[in-house]
Amino acid sequence: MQHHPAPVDLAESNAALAELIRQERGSLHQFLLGLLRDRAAADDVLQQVFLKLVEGWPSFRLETGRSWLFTVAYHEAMDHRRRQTRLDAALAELWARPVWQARPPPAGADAEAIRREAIDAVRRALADLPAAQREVVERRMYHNQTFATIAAELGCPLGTVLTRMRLAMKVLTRLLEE
Amino acid sequence: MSPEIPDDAQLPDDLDLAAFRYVAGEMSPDEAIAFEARLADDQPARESVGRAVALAERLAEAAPAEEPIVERRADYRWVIAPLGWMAAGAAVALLAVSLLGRSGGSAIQPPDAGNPGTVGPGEGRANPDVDALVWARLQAGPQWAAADLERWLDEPAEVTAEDEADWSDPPEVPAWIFTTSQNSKRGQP
Repeated sequence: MQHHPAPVDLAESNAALAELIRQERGSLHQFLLGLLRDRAAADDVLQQVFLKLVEGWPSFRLETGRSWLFTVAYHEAMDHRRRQTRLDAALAELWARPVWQARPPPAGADAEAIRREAIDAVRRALADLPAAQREVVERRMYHNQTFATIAAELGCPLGTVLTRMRLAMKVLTRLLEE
Repeated sequence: MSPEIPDDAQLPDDLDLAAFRYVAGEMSPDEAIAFEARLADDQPARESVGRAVALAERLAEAAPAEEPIVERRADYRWVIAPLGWMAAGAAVALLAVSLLGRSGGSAIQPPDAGNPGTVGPGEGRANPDVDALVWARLQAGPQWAAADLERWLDEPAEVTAEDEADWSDPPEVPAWIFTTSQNSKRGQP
């Protein structure tokens, strides 16, 4: 693979750096939230990642940049967690914590309309799912039931429940990206 | 929530599903350790975690609101509806009689002087606020016609200032009021 360094021209270089940060901020933050289950911790670690990006920018390779950012994010998150979570029991508690318990901060007035629109889109997407898939999603997300509990209550194999969830996720992800 | 999926379970082989189980807190510690080790150098797995978080957050944000109070008020609809010709003040007494008749005197006991059958606020009740509000409405006297009560049952979910005023001095609620509510939820008269 041919590697290209970051642009040499300063203005162009700064613009490229800003654009990269803009592009990757959301997905990196989601990845970090998945690892840390804590929004403030994810924010802090994301800052560290971007600090390393700025420091390493002169030798940064755009082609492999995304993977590099996620690698740095992973190691920074693990370091952060080691500092914060020394006990195995605490780690087990963290792993058992659904990521959506780290609820986002309240949206400002301007963002509220957009938020309402996004919520409506999700509800429409849910309503479009086949009933069996929708039931699994709703039980898991809104009734806090584990997949095993859902399988037991529906009287079907766990694999069936997980397959319904997988299919629902694919459809929801596609619909929500449109 | 503790993971309940046995290690030998036959699971669909799907990275996105694994990532969702990870962020949903459904992996055992051993599974989580293995999955996190994979995240060290597996970019598709990392992307899957990001997608799973994004989807979970959007779904969580679209969670239905908690059971709206109007639905819980509606638990009492069957109590109020047959009394459409009465003033609400009289409804209190007749309600007790009506309940006795429906229950055959077994499940629901009316209050009596020696044993008022009251419960304190929140005591042993699923919907103490609604129970209390319904009771306050029933006690409010003739100015509350049954039609008003019916309209109130269908009002939007928010607790109104009027409700707040009723609730400012939590009334002692007869036990049969919330028994009625619970039976109504179970589809029993």
